Amino acid sequence: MQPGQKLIAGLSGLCRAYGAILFAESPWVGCCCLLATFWFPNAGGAGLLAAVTAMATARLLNFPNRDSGLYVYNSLLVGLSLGAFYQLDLHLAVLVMLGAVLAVFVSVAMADITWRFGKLPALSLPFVVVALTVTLAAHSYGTLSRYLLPLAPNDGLISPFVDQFLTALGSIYFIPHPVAGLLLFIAIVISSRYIALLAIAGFLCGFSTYAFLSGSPHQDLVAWNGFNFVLVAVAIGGLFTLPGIQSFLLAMAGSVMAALVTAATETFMLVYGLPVMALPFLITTLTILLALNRRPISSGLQLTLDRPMLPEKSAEQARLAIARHGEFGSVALLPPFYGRWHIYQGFNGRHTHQPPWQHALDFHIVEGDKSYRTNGGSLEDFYCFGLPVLSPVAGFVVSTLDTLPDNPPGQVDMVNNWGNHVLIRMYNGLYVLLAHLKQGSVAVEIGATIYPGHIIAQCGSSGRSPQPHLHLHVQWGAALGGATHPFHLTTVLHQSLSQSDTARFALFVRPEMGDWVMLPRVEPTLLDSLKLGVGSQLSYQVTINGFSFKRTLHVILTLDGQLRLQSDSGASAAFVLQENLLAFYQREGPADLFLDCWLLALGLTPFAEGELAWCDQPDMKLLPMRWPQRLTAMLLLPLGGGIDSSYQRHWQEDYWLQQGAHVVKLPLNRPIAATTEVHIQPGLGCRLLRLSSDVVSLEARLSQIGQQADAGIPAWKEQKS
Amino acid sequence: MSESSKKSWSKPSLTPHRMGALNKFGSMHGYHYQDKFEGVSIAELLAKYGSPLFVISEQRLRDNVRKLLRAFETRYGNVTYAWSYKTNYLGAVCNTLHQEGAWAEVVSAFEYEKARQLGVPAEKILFNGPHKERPILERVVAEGGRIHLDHLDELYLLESIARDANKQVNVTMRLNFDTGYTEPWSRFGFNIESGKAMDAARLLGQSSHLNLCGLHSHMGTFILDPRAYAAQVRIMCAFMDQAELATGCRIDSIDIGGGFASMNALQGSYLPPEQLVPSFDQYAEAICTALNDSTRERDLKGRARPRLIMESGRSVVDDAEVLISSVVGNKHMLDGRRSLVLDAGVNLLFTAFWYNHQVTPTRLLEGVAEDTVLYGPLCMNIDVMRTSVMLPPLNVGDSLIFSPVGAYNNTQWMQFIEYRPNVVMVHADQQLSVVRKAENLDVMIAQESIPAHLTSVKSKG
Repeated sequence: MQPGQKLIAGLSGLCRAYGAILFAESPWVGCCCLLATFWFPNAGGAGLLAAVTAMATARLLNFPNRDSGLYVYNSLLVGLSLGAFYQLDLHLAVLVMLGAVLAVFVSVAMADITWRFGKLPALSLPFVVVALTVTLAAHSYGTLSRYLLPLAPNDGLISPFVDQFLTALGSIYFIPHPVAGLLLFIAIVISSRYIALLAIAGFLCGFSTYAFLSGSPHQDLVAWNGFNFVLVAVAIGGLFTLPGIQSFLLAMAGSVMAALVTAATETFMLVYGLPVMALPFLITTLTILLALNRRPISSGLQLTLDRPMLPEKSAEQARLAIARHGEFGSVALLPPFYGRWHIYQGFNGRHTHQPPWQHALDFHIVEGDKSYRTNGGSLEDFYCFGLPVLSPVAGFVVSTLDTLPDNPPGQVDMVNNWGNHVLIRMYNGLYVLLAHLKQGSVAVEIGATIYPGHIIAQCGSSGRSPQPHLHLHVQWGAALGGATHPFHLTTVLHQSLSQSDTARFALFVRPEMGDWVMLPRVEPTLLDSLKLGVGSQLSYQVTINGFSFKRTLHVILTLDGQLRLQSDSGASAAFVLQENLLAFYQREGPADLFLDCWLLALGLTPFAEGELAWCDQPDMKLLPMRWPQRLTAMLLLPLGGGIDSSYQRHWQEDYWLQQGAHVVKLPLNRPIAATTEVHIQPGLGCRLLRLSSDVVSLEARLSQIGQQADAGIPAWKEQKS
Repeated sequence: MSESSKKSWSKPSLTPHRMGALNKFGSMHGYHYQDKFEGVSIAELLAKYGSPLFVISEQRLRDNVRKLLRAFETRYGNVTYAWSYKTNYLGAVCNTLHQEGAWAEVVSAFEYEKARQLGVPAEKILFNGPHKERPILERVVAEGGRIHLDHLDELYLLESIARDANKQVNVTMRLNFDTGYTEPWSRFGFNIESGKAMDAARLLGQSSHLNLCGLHSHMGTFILDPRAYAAQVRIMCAFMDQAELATGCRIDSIDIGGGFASMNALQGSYLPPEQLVPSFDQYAEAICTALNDSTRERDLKGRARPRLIMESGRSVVDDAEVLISSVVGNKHMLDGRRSLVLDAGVNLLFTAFWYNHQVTPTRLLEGVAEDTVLYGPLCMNIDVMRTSVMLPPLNVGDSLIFSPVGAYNNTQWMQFIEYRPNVVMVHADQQLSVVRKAENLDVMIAQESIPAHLTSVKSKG
């Protein structure tokens, strides 16, 4: 690396450490925070010294992920806290540096311990531990001289209450002054509007509780400790849970509880002459997260402890995940059969699918409205009898039975409820049961490793089964008939009895009685024409509102193994390409109408053959809007929103025509709509893309297809002279 | 019924006593008649479109192919049905089936061009048959159609076309072999037992432009024993494994041809078709079980099981079409049998040469059923629609329904003496469309051209 680049990287790491305290990622936000700390140069200087020391230490000892700022911000806070109470001189500088180094070690150690303890983030716990240690030590160091921060002037900046909020914000960085607070607030707004909202709401909740219980709280106490309410709300409502109403209410409840913990901590700490600092925030937040962590997976409030990110981003990802994969925690299964089957009984079915076996599906085959030919007097008359049963998952067989006879139609075996069966353990620890199988048909042995699509038995009518059918459920534990767990069928064509008579392709299907499901046949020409291989490059002649220019897209493979489609503007989106579908997600980078059009038109493209219809919910940002519309959308939906996109595709002359209709419905506003069209030609790819809406009309024609050589392996391709 | 209150007059008939007339099927099919087809009145059809008349049911066609696909798709994971054009290439029939997901199986340049003109993508056309010439092969190669090789000369021709076009061409090899169930059709494709097939596979393995990626065989026609198909599949899969091992090719489709029987009575068969003809489920069970068994090892190795292609035409289209014909005259033969002259003969119902079609009156017939011969309108001795059928006396203008007639008649019919009649399709909502207009003089002479000195019937000299 060039020395210049090194310096820039170092500076940006430093700024990021400042921003990390407010959970922001951008170095510019951090830069804003850094400026704010210098409102009181004594504290700011001490903080900067600590931060630089910590960075040097982390670099010297080669701790991983240094640029995340994780090891630095705790040291930074130690520095700031010392600078807030003592005059910055040589003695303090030594103490600051010692504290900073200690904080690095404590951070590394503690981050590991808290993660192992309960998937918890260390937050500023290392800072509090080190700061308390150093402050206690400072009591016995005669060389230090006290320094009193000039507290907020009475004339105020905006209004007394707003000043109080801003001052509390400032005191996160030990700069209890409304101007510093205002700078920080601006930084927060730049980084995330939703966090700004949480900060205000959290402060209101916490402060009103605190004031209500204590009568008239001392202004200085609120100024110094009020930030705890803010941080609890931001951490719980914005960072570590999926934002939503539940999460917002929990965040507010957290702030209220933080008021109590703050008062208690004040009483306790004052005895030892110690500042409260972030202790109430840590106690409240970590306790709540630890408790939430102990719940079973459910569709309710979701924690994002393993990948905390800004609320706007996690809301966007969660929205797409819900739109594509249904509910959290539901197990995805492939259909356990070939062809098109009919649902005989769905979840919570009235015959036998009652708790604890309510999550179960029964399948059979119907032609016309009968499940049998002739008079249904013998088992062989039933269409589904003897058909192959496939494994819907990867796993291994834990129990089988195939010695029970198949009941004649109309009779049941009340002793052996499940009849002949195969029980499979999945790699997520849950079990899949396929029951009522045909006598003597089980083709796998206990212990066998199986994969989805493996033929394991034949459909029969053993056990409590009055006519041939196949029972499927996901259960807890290896005991036959354990409590069931929610699951769904994925990548299927689903024909719903209630909605329409056309089959739709879906990634999440929980069919109901009377519905049809089948695994669609893959159209190889679609897979071939949309095979976005690493290094492939597509050039388009793009016309936007009459202006024409050349654009290119190329496929890159990131270090962590993500395939991304990147346009020449630098904007990109990740995608998965498997044998039955292409799906884009995680759009990043600058505005790029052409790439957005591509993502709208092809965002979720199944490779199933024939005429097909399906839905998706890509992010609102992809839809072209006028700026007042975009502003309204941002205000009305602070967490963003999805586009209701419905797609259909059919063959036309010599290409596949895939059309999409995209609508965003904002409350109190006219819907914003666009339509897309893409022509997929076998062997060539997307030769034509079109987008039209009130705002813009775009047309892109494929002009060139190229393939970049892999530059990573120089000898791979012979150079042509 | 009001008719029963007053006895109506019917033609008198003399019925001699014969030995051996008693049999377990009874003397005739009962006083059974059919005055509607798919809910549409026969009288109305004849009044509107004339006689004779072919009528196709769109719904039955769809139901049949869905039944066939249901039987196979619930037993095997990768099934493709290809519509055999030669069975019935009326555009409306083909497109009904293409809408149900069928590919096209064609055996001549004409059929290929027709399929393309109907809008079938070239990748979904299987080009079969022993006669493919350079111009059409060049087109198929350029468009990416799937070529089934029949003999070595064709292989060399295709090799040279592919070399000229500088293209890699995926080909399927047609095989013939003895399953022990049917008479082998050794005139088509490469023989396995003699080693010719493996020789051809090796040639393809060494070819720099042709890739062997599919196997095809067609055992024969009207095969009544599903076990024949199980044997066929096993032999083909064994050959697939050997060929892959010997040449390094990757075979991804097994085409078992057609030959499923339809509910028609072959002349000379003793039992009625209801008892002889296996159901789609029985064919599917035999074929898919054999295929799943023979490809298990391939599946365990993580390789996809081959695509199963079926080309059965007869069993899908036959009972979806009927021929309505009218009586133009009554005759008594010298041997005492009654005979009828009809307006449709073997010119329209080519399959009458080998089937005893079911013949159903369109009104309740009074009188005693007699052994009757049905003659067509041609002045040719061989124009016999049924040599013997038990029918009560009929009047001139009465009509009869011949069924099932969907397979091979609209393609093998002859233009001899007569104009070919209208072909009508009944849709699911009972609406009617003419899918092939009756011919007239303009059609007959459209292709003719008369040299200048022959334009007049009068001699110039």
